[in-house]
Amino acid sequence: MKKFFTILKRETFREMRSWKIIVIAIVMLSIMLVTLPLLSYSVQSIQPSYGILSAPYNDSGYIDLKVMAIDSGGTPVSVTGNVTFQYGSNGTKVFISDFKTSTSSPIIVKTHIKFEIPLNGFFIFWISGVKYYSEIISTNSISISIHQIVSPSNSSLPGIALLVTSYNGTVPGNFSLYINGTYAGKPDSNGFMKAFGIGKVTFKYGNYSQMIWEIPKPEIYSSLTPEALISSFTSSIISLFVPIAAIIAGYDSLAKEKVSGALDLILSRPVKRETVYWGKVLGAFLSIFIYFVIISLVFPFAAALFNINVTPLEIVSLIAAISFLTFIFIILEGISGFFGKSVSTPLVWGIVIWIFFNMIYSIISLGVLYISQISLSSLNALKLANIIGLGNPINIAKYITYMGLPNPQVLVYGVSLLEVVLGSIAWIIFSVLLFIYLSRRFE
Amino acid sequence: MIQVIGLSKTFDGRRPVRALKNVNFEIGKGEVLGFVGLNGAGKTTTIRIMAGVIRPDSGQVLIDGKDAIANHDSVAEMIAWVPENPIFDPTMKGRDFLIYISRFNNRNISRDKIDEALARVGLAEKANEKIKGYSLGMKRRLALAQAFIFEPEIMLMDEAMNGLDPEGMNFFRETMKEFKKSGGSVLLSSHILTEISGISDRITFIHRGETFQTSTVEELEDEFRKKLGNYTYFEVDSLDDNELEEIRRNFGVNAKFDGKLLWIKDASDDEIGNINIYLVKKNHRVMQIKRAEFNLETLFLQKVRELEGVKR
Ligand SMILES: Nc1ncnc2c1ncn2[C@@H]1O[C@H](COP(=O)(O)OP(=O)(O)O)[C@@H](O)[C@H]1O
Ligand SMILES: [Mg+2]
Repeated sequence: MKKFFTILKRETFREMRSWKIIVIAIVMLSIMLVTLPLLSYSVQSIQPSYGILSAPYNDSGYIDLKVMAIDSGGTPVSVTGNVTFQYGSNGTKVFISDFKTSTSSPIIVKTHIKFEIPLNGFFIFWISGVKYYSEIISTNSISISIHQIVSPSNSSLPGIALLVTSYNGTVPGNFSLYINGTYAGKPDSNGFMKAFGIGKVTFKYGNYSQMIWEIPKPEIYSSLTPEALISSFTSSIISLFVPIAAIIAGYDSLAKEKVSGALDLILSRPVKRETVYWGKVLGAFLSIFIYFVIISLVFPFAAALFNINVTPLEIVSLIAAISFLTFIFIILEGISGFFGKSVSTPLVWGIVIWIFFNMIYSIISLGVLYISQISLSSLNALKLANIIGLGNPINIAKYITYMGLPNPQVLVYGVSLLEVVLGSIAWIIFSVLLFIYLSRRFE
Repeated sequence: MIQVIGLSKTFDGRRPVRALKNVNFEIGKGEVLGFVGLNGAGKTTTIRIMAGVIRPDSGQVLIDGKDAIANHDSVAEMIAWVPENPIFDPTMKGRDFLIYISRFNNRNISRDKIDEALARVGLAEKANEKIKGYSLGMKRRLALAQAFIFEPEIMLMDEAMNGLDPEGMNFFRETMKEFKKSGGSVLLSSHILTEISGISDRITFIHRGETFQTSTVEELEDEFRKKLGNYTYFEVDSLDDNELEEIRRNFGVNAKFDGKLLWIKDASDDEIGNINIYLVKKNHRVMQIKRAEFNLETLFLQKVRELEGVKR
């Protein structure tokens, strides 16, 4: 243990003093900061739209909630689910669970709401365990926000559409909302949902039909929320730079020393070689972790100057993504020390794995996506492409970054948090086992 | 006592190299074992296995009966290795390297001991300079200092005398003698037999990954005399085939001429005298007449040639 910490300490400080690592950290932070004004401009250009639904007031009102759907071709499809109401001092909650549709294509969802309204308080509307907001605007009005619903067959995943409604008073009888389009959004400071995207919402009550709002297609169509834009930007930057830093640290501390023979005298001493190898890997990891965590913490403050809000959860997921990338690439580079013949072999290997995961893998994924689109719907093809992405640590790091978003599905449609966690764990286990195997196989 | 038993090792690669086939020897307490073979015979590979840097495919290294490969993290404390071409992190300072490596030991090593070792190998003045600026000789001295600080019972010296100046040789010999006296065991490899024959108690030969003989220097001298010792040579200006044939016939000796030297085997003093008279009569200039001297190097090369002959 003492020997392990001797190595860990030395490698950490040595890599922290490495000018290459410092240069990469500074270049990365500079790029992030220099791009902030541009990012801020892009975020503002995503125009929010509002839609408010109003209906006649009735004292004995209730809301009857049913959910049905027709697919985009107009054929009715079945939508099943349980609706539960929960009364409590905090207000009333409506739960819809086990929400399932029988179609695999994007659907139009009709919500049919029937509910006894407690005029004071609020209720929260749930679909498939995803919380959607509903807040009282005034004592006799209720706003109902419904995120949804582009749902693949038998999936409980929330889709990438969002409907925002505000409902004043109560409705005796049935009404329907027709949602058609792609939306993403979040509640603003007044509790209204801001919807971003394109689409149409129509309110129907008996014979009465009214289009509530239509969000026109923006000039540059984007389903991105401001958070998603920042998240995809930062994740792209770290995907480019963190692996380079990790490869350099893995090269300096382990691969180069192993191939050159500088490690031999240490290995001849009474110490297990695993202790030496892992001390070096984790020392290199710590050095990069320290620098890049500092960057992750500096960035939100700089972003705040440009009115870009980065939440603590987004910072946590950014740090998790950086740690994951650093670890995997140090291990992958360290491995090259076991089969390298000259001190340049591990460097070439490092460049190859960087190019492979940053470029070639994406090209292959795109190819698969292109081919699969022939037989799959575009959403399923998108889902497939994202699932294929789990095979690439660079993509996993991006997904981890996105998981800090309120609605990650905007960026990683079809991949759940669980799948991202499992994908990361699988990659860590795989690289560690490969490292252990090759360290024994070659010497 | 160290026992090396049946070591074999093949380096994988596009063209696998069978570096060791069957290596066996023993080194007793207070003994210096010379380890001699041509370049590429497998000395360094054997020593690296003993140092625990690489693992053999099969075979054992026992130290006082304990498996040194399986128990590397305890047994290696008794061993110090001086590599053939020591490689260090060039950005480190010599003294810092010693402090760093001294931590990889189960006993604590004081700074005084490190400074003492540096002084002993003559590196005290350069100890606070980066290894980047060290000459090869200085790196080897640093490797030697590294071996000293651990106060080992066994030293593995790979081509340690190679390239030393006379002063360095002298220092090395004295150091080894001292180490021996204190009960230490030394493995001393070299591709030049004469370089180490003076300080080795016994010598083990290795050729193409196989050890084939272990003898004392006295035994080797006897062997030399038996095999090669009874040659006498004449240095003559020239000799034609007829004359050579005549010498063989007239004196009944085994004679060879290699263009410069006339070699006669098992000749008595009388026969030598008569051959000399014959040569002079034939108007040849005889520059010198000499009995072949005891030369371990010749013996070593002869052995290698024999082994190669057996193979063919
Ligand atoms: N790491 C290695 N990879 C491949 N071949 C090696 C390696 N180390 C040594 N060899 C080969 O093994 C044989 C023995 O080498 P070595 O033990 O260095 O011999 P010596 O020290 O007696 O000169 C040589 O043919 C050498 O090329
Ligand atoms: Mg050698």
